[in-house]
Amino acid sequence: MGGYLLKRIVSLLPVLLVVAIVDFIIIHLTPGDPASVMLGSQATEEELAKLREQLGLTLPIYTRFFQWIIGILQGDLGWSIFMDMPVTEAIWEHLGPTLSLTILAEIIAILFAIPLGVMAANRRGSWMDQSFMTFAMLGISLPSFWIGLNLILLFAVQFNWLPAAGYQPLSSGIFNHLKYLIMPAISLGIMQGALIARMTRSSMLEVLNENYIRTAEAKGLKMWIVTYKHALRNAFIPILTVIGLSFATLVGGAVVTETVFNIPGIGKLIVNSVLRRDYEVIQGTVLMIAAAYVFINLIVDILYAYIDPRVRYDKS
Amino acid sequence: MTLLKVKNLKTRFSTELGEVTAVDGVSFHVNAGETVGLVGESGCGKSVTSLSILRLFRKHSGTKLAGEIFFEQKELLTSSMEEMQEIRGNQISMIFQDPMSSLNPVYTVGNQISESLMLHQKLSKKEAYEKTIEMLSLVGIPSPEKRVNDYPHQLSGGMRQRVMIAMGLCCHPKLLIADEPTTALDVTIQAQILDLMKDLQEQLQMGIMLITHDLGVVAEVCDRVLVMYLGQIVEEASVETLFENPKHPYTIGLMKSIPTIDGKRGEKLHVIEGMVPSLHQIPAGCRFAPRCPFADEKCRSHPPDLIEVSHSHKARCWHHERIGIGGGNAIAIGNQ
Repeated sequence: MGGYLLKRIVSLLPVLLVVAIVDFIIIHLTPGDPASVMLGSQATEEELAKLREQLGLTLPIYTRFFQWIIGILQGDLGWSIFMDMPVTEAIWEHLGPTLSLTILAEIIAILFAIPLGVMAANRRGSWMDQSFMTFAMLGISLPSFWIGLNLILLFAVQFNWLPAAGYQPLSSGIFNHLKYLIMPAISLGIMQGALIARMTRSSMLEVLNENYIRTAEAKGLKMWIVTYKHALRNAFIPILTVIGLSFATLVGGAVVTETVFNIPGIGKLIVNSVLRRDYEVIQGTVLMIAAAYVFINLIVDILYAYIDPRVRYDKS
Repeated sequence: MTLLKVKNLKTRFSTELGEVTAVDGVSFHVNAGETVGLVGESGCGKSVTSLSILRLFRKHSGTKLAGEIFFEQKELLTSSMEEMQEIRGNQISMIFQDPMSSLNPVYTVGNQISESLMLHQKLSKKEAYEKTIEMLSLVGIPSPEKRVNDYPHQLSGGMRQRVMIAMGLCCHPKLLIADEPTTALDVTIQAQILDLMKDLQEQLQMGIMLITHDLGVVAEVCDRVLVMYLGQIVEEASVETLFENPKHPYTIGLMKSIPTIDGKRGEKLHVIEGMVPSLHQIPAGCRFAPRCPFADEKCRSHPPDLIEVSHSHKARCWHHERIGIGGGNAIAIGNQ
């Protein structure tokens, strides 16, 4: 496993380099002068020139690229002119809310999706299966901001149980933290949960027809042991893949949901930085998201081997 | 002592083309310590009969079971799911046809065997583990204390089938249903597995129901034989009687299809003409009539009953009196 891990991590480097190049090029090809966006229409030519100089915009593009890459290698993603702080610090500040939201949304999704998907597969064709799957279809189709807005209307405006928007860090107390996060987490969790439930159902349906499930039943095992021990573990690889992808998507920032609930997360950081043309922040954040994707997929790959012993990375 | 008594078992499936009766009015019994063979071509209802005994069909498959199945005094078709779970793997065990796909790929063989022991024999994890090693050694797996931690994919086909047998026997069942336990194996391994089953039967006095399409295996290990064709039993006799004096044209056809060592090279093997009809188009009269060389008008219009042709020998044929094999030539008993 150690050798495999090392190989995988080394092979990630070229991927990240390509991401970095594309990231850099796209951002620098965006039309518009960042200096004039930042300073506004009242700025004098002199001020603009000064800012351009400060931002390094007068240097050739390849020089800027290499400066950026060298910075990254030293753990420096640049400086946010607008927030007046290092980009790494800005990302770090916004990562907390996003991670909290992602983990909570994913817990809600998995907690409901897997048992429901399993139940639907076990009672294939029943009214229960059909209604679960209709709900799952709805969950996939309804935009999470719409669900979010309805939750706000219901629980914040109508009943006044939860705050309509905003964010309190974990340090303010777990209850307070969850009070602010629960609605956005539900609105994100519904969609991810619907995806996971559908995958769980179809993967379970396939496994439940396998001969070893009949063997397990012939042993006299209880239905829930057959389902959760013998079938689910075999069905779990595609489910894990979907969970990994949905986790990575949420870490990349749920832009709309974060905006609706006014959560200072990665999604909001990107939107604000794009509006302000805060180049270095955009570049750094996009690179961080790409790295998170790659890293989460690596973890998923490693988990495959734990779930299914036939997946042996060292021999291949 | 009668262990298992099946009376007029009917197993129906819903298919896209309508309902089919895969097992149609099958009755038989298995005594303690006895080996009963269930023989027939693929699709004749052998496996469905065995699955029906333990009711191993998924709910959504729409399978309907009718008739009566008594295991000792207990009626299985009306038992609750909990009662069935108590019997499965504990009093009646089953070994399946394909050892490649019948073991769970993500658990060690030790885990899969000890699971039964912990459930039915209420052993602790450690006791079950030790007993598992003992069982693996009993079925002839070398260095069982290492193999117990192997996953199915690390074992050969023969080893996996031995694991299946160990799993089937670990709780000392009274009845073992073995569905083609040797089909997927090499001939040498086949003989070992059959010997092993015989030995264990003597030790444990269990009844065995052996499902196979291999008459050689039947001759080797069975006491009594049931021949099935298209969901019905067409002949039932002791193994000696069946091989010496078969009374159903289908049984005779099956026996003639066995290649013999003294047959001429290049000589064509005997085949039963025609194909097994689909369960959707069951013939009106005798089900074997379309393929039978002896069939006449009566056979094609009136279905025969399974009748006693001599002491404990039954056949389902209008012409059983004039059917037989002359001199028993060209039939090899015990040939595999």
